[in-house]
Amino acid sequence: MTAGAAAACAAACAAAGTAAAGAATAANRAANRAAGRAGSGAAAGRAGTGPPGPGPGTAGVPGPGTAAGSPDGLHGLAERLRHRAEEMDGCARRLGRACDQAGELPGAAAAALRRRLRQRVRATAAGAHGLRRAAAAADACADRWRAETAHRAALAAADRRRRAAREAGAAAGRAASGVGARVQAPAGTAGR
Amino acid sequence: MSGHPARPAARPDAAPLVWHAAAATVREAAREVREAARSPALAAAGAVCPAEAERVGRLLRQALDDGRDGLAVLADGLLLDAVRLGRAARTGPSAAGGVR
Repeated sequence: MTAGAAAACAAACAAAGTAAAGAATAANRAANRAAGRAGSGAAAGRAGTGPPGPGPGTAGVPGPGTAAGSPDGLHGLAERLRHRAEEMDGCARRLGRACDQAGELPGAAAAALRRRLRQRVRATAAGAHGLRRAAAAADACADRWRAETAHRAALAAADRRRRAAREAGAAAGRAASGVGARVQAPAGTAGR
Repeated sequence: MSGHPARPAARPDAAPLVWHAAAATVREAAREVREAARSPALAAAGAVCPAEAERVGRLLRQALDDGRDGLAVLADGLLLDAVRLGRAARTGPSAAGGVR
């Protein structure tokens, strides 16, 4: 949520007679956002990539020195999605409360409007659930990416060790058969 | 006098404000999802583990465009509801369902 949207939310809460609860929720969200940024930074720090990752709303804009194209970048993305899901959950709760307060309108048309409003409340909660699913999938993808990268690095290292051992063995064989001795003949004796 | 400001009473015209704020939140979430779907991290993951990256992309698209429950449609719907609620609050109960 942008600062403007957060302010609008807080204003709406205050207008609905829940000023204290609204302020607490806004403070909560701000704290969550700060924690999210700190988390991104910690993730970037784990990868040794320097400054914290991009904050909410900058998923497609890799900053200088961020881990945007790395598993940590994907974890940061999942974190931001979860943060959005939390915001939407809060919205769904506030919408539900507002629905209860708007339930005084009589008549069939008002009943239809109430049904629509309730459907929006459910859709908002479902949207938050969808964001959490995507965030979990992004986390799993980042873990798999990290494991795959580590596996490939281990394979490459083993391959290098095997090749070095093979070359060392071949050199030892040459030395044992005397082939190396001719090569190592003193200078000036070649051709005798 | 307790010295504390009085708690504001619930107003019937507060619901449109809540709906407006919810629409803004959902719109921001939709924007975040769009950016996530084209993020370089996801594109790079697709080169290493394509199945997992494809699943993330599918879930993001689903969250965005899942019919009436998709974030894109939901944001517009919430905004429309805010207008309906505002109209109902201004003109009385008879106008509550007037807008389809």
